[in-house]
Amino acid sequence: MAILEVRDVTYRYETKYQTVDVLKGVTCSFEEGKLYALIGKSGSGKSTLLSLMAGLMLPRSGEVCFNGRPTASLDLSRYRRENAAVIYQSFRLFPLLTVSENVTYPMELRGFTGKSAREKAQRLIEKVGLPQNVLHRFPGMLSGGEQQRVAIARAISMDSRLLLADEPTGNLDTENGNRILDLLLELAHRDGYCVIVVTHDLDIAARADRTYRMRDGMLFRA
Amino acid sequence: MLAAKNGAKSMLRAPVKTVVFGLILAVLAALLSVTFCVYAAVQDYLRACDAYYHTVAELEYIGAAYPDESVFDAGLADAVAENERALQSLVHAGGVIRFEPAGSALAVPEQLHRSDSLVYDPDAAVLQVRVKFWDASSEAYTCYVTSTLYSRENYDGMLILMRTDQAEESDAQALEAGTSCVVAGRFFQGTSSYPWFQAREMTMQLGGGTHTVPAHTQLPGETVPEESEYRQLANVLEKRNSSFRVQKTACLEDFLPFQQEELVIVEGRTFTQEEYAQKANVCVISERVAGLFSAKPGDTVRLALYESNADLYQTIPAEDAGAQEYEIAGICSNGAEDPYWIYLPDAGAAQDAVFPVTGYRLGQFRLENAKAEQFYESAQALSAQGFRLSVYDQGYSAAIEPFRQLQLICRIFLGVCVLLALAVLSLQSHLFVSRQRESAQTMLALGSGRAHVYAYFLAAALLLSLPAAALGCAGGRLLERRVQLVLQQFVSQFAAQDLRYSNSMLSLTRTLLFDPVIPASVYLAAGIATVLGSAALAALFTCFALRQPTPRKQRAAQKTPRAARTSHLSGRLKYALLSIWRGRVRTAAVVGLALAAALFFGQLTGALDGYKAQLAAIEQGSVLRGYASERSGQRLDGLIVQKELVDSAAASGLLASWNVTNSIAHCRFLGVSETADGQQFGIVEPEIPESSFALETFIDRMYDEPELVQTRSVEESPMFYYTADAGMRWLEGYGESDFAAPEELQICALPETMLARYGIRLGDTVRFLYAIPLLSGTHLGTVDFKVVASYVPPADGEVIFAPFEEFKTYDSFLFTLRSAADLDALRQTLADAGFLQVRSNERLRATAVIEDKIFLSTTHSMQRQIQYVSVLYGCLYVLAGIAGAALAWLLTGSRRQEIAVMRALGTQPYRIVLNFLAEQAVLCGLGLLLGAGIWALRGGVGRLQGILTAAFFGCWCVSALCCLLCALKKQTYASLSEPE
Repeated sequence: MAILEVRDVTYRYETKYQTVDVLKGVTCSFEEGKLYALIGKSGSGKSTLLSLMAGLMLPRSGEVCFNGRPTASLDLSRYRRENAAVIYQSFRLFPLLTVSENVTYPMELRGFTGKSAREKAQRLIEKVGLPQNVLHRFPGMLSGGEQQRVAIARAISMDSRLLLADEPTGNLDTENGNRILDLLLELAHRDGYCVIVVTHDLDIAARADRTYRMRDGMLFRA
Repeated sequence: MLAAKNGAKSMLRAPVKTVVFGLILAVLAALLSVTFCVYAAVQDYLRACDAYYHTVAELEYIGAAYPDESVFDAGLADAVAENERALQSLVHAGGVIRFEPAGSALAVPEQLHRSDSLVYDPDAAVLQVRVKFWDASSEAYTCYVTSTLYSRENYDGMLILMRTDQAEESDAQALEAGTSCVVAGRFFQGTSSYPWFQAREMTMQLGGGTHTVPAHTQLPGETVPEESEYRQLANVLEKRNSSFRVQKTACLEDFLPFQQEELVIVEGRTFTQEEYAQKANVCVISERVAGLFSAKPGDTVRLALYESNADLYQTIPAEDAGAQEYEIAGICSNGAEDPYWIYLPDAGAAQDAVFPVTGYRLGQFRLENAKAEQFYESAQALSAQGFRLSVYDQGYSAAIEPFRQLQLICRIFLGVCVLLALAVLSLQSHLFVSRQRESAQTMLALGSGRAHVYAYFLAAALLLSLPAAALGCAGGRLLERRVQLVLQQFVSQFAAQDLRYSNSMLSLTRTLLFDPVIPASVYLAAGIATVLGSAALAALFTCFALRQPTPRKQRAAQKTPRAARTSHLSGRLKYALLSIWRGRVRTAAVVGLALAAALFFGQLTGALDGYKAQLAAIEQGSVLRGYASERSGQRLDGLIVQKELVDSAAASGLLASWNVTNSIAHCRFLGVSETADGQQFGIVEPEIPESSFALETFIDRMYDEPELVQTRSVEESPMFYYTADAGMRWLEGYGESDFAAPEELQICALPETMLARYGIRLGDTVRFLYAIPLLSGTHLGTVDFKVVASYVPPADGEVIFAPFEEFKTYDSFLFTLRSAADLDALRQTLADAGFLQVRSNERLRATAVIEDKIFLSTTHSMQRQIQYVSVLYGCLYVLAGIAGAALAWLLTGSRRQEIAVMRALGTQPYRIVLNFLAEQAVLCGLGLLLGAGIWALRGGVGRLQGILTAAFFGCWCVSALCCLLCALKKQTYASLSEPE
């Protein structure tokens, strides 16, 4: 059963000088245990679609349904907190929090604090392939690949089943990019996450379970 | 050219930003140009004031016969000798341009006989007479004047009644009837219509010494020999009485009566610079002197000059001095006191001044306007010695006061404008250059030279600043007239000061119109400064941009890793607390800024409170005195002040103390009738002559005895008005209140000199013979006084003080205000009572003077300062609040990414707001509390400071909250997808 469904979604950016229809009736669905790749040229609407799926925005028409319920009817903060985790190209870690604190932050939002949260953070760090000694470092002390792993650890700490990644390897070299992709595939295939990756990287598209292509606001199955 | 074109394009393609910055720059350029103009105008005006106003200080000695300018007071000579060093140091004090001693010369014109009543010794005469007979009834010789050797009037052929010193001793045979005599002496008002003459010994300077000429000498023949000493005495008297006082001056316009415009040149001209330098034989004479000479400008007069630093009139020698011709350069108006003056040019005083001792004016100082106050302070030590310094600045200090304030405001405003302009230009340059950094790198990569890159940015900066500066300066020029009007209105507010009865009115106040003409070059300078500033900052930021190619991220990666402890904190404010703890620089910056703001508020409010406290202290601590006077406001006694006037003023309840005196008699000491220990003595009282002549002579001599002055208070009598200490000694059980008591106590206060001379002790009862002039004739009698006090007279002249008695008029009225705050009420009371102001035209009634000049100028200046400071500080408070709000906005705004991530992670908005607001509130509050704590240690936090601190805190928090609410908008998420 699809965990996330996008039904005839449209979205429009309006400025003083122009109106751009970014999404023109996009329909698709996503299941758990698979990694989806969303590719397309710049400005084709990939990131907008990701933002709609992450509950950062609401569609102009149509609906995005999570487990059959439209996001418009949900408390979006809660939806993001409990159901949709986003990984960004620029990692977006809190610079003033240590790795451990960055990972435990979403847990604390859900009332999961203290020693058990820290132990879980340790496990997650281990899971994403980082050594334990990074736990007490600040993000600024880590390499880009390490920071992205911390971001993934933070995302999966939320216990959400939906993992959305916006160009997760965009800032990384090929070796680190491949490692991150391996990790995301592992999360999808072994742990059952529904992972949706927005990317330009055709190698990722090639390794994804399913690939969608965005063109002029329309979504096509590649 | 290409660079300029590209620069222009880049500016034009961001039109909103360009227009906004352009307008801000134009406004700043306008403000700069207007402030420059005002500053330049004020500077010009202050320079013009310095040339227009001439400050002069007059040094006088308050002697017994003050202000009589013709007397010789030995007390002055002694005081000058005792204080020679202090006086000389005053002459050489800072701020003194020159010192001019008062006129110490007499000019004797050739072949001019003065017969006016203002001559030095109007009744002196030397006569050749034939004694007719001794008239027993009038006790005088009847004489026939055969020749008048000297007299103001010609008595040739007239009969006179002549007395000699021996006559009162009934020595009728001193002169034989029918003999021919030559006599010296003075005419006096006798009891018949005949001229009465008192023959007396007279002195003159002869052969370098003092020679005494007998009262009369019998002549061997019918004529007085040519070589006779009487002819020489007549010559001396002629010279004395026909002489004019001479004032030598290095600048006639600065000589006090001219400086005060009491005297003006009515015909001809003043002296030229060459005449001053060469001490040329030219003169300016008064109209009255010109009338005597029948002269007009261009005529010459022959004058013999006699100079002396002793008793001026008595040092004219019998020998003739060489007369010289003086050309009359101009004729001036007549002085009020003495209309006979001659002014001569002088090159300036010698190194050490010689202080004249005739009269009470020692001389005058021409001072630098700005240093007059300091000079006055330095001369205050001499006031205890009987000297008085009066500064006449023609209103300079009052005129420049508002402009000094304006100058200060201009400086502050100019500073703020320059800083603002720099900040705006820096921001604009920074934004433009930093946004175009990649373009610059690309240009360099494509092979453009650095010069091309600089030209690109400079062209863009100039494209913005040139039209903005031109627009601003043109706007400033358009505003010029309006600004001038505002300034004139501002300045005119200063004149709105109640000066009724103030001693400020004793001197002339001139007004130099403030009507500045501002050259266009000032505006041009402001515009050029703006453009150059813009270009310089653009170049600077371009330089930075080209020198710092390393991105921030790379620098961060190069940082040495540091150990951290993961926090075990939990709760909703965990993020805020961690951010505060780990923010380090940011935390320190906010705390530091808030601390600085708190200290800034403390400093400003402290300064304002200080001003207010000073003003209150001045108002509370000032003792204002005043006195009744005549039209010129100079005299303290010898007046006719109606009792009703005094009663009205005294009944107002505004006076802390007041005193009236009455000089009612002259008293001759007869002896101690009873000592303090009860021992009684018989005193032989003088026999009062019964014959009219002897009685008249007796009474005449009584008028040389000390005056009996009735007073309510000895220390507050006019004699001690200018003296710090009367040196009073009181008999136990007695005090000042006994003099004001309604009971008629027979007590008195005598000068120490009199006690020493007659061996009187406090507690003794002394007997005086008194002479009271009444309409019906002089009343003589004796009176016993118990001596209960003694004093040290400040100058020559002894006075016997007796308790007060009510009369219809008083000689003097002195008062001290209860409080300086009652000044306005007292002015009204004096006006209601009928006191006139000095320099008013009515002559018959009493004027009143309140010595509030320094008080008024000080308090007025402070009040204005408080007023301006309040406005200025108000602006600074607002600016500080805006700066605080802007900083809070920027600091919170810099956390947008964190906020966006939090939102993306599903953090509730209230939690985000709570965390960031708490962080800002804690940091700002901590800084403010620290600042307030430091200020509290220095002396307490005022109410206003508390309010301002709280307001600043409020501004900071509200601004942070607004920024947070903006940051929580949906658009924030868009930034998450952008690369950093």
